[in-house]
Amino acid sequence: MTEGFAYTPNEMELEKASNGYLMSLIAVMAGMPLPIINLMATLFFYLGNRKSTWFVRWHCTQMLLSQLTVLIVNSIGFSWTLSVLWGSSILSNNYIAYMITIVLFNLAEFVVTIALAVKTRNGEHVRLWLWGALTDRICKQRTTEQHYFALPENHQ
Amino acid sequence: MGKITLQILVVVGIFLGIWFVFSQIDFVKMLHLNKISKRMEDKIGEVIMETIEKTNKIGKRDEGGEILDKIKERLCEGAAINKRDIHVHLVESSEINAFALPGNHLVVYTGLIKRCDSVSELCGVMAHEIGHLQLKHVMKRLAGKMGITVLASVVTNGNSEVVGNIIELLSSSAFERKQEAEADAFAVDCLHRAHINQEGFSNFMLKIAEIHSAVPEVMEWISSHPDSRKRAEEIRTLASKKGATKHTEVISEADWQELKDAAANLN
Repeated sequence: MTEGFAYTPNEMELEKASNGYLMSLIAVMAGMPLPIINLMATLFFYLGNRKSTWFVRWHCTQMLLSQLTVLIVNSIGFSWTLSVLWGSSILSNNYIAYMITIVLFNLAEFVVTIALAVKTRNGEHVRLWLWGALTDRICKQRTTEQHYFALPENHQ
Repeated sequence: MGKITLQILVVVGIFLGIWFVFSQIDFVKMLHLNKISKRMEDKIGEVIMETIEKTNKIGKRDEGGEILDKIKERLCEGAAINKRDIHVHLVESSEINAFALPGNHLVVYTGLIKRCDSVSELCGVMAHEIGHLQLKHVMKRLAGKMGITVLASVVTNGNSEVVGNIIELLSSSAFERKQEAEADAFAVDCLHRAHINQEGFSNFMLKIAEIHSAVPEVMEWISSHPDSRKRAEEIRTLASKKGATKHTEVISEADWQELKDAAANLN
């Protein structure tokens, strides 16, 4: 979902926001099969940019929320795999089906993240369904930032 | 907030829906996973038995093995399982012990036979161990204690240290209380269906509890099967619920004596 942002971000902001998505991609590749690593990497990037501009923070937050969602399903899969390996659970159809489902979710998230990185770098403000709305609630414009940006007349 | 809640529910619903659809596919059968785990279990059993044969003397068919097989066959009839699925081995050892191994191997020590006053006592112990095998307690326990990856090392390179640990684990430590109760119930049912006196099983539990307090070092079976007095009571209760049945001879008195002699002479 592409919509305009409250102000037009400059080149540096576009690059930083895009890097946030790229960072999570690299972390996903490095972190497998430990799902916590990609979340940690995204969290560190988010904390590193928490004093950045609203646009950068907004996209870092959106990335962090989508990573959190994947972390939850991946963590369940990870602990389930451990219990199968340690013998407290059996290798069942439910387990295999769950693993296929989380692989599909991870693949979808991977593709969407690449698309977000490219689109953001090209200056598009893409709001993900659900995660975009959640980000809007969490990531507000700081009062100290307001005098820097001229808001459009119709923006509430 | 209502819109976001709805969106969260939709995402969770999509996830659960995909999971549900995939879970309808029988991957275990499709990928022959049961056969793979059965082959692995059989191989682990083979490696363990090879190790036991190197360190202990095994009773051949004319050294009590055949008579022990007769008892096994009778118990298999009672449990409605194929007699060829269970492999019973008479192993020379002074310890009063019997234990189940992966691959449906059942090891009976000569020390146990020497301490049994009747064949029904031995039948009770063997039926209990067959219960552990049939209820898949052995592999569950091994996988739980050691992990599938460690067990796989036995299959791939016959890891002797792991084999030693498996023998130690299965021969001298208890299963979970729930699993012991399940094996007891299995044994009572098996003895009932095979028309073997269940009293022998409960009596043996009481007897070994008494011997244990006097000579604890030879009582491996009791140390791996705690709370024997309480369990003897539970076995009696289970047996009484099964109702009366006509008991028939498992093996002849001559065969029983021959088995006792074979156990005494195997060294």
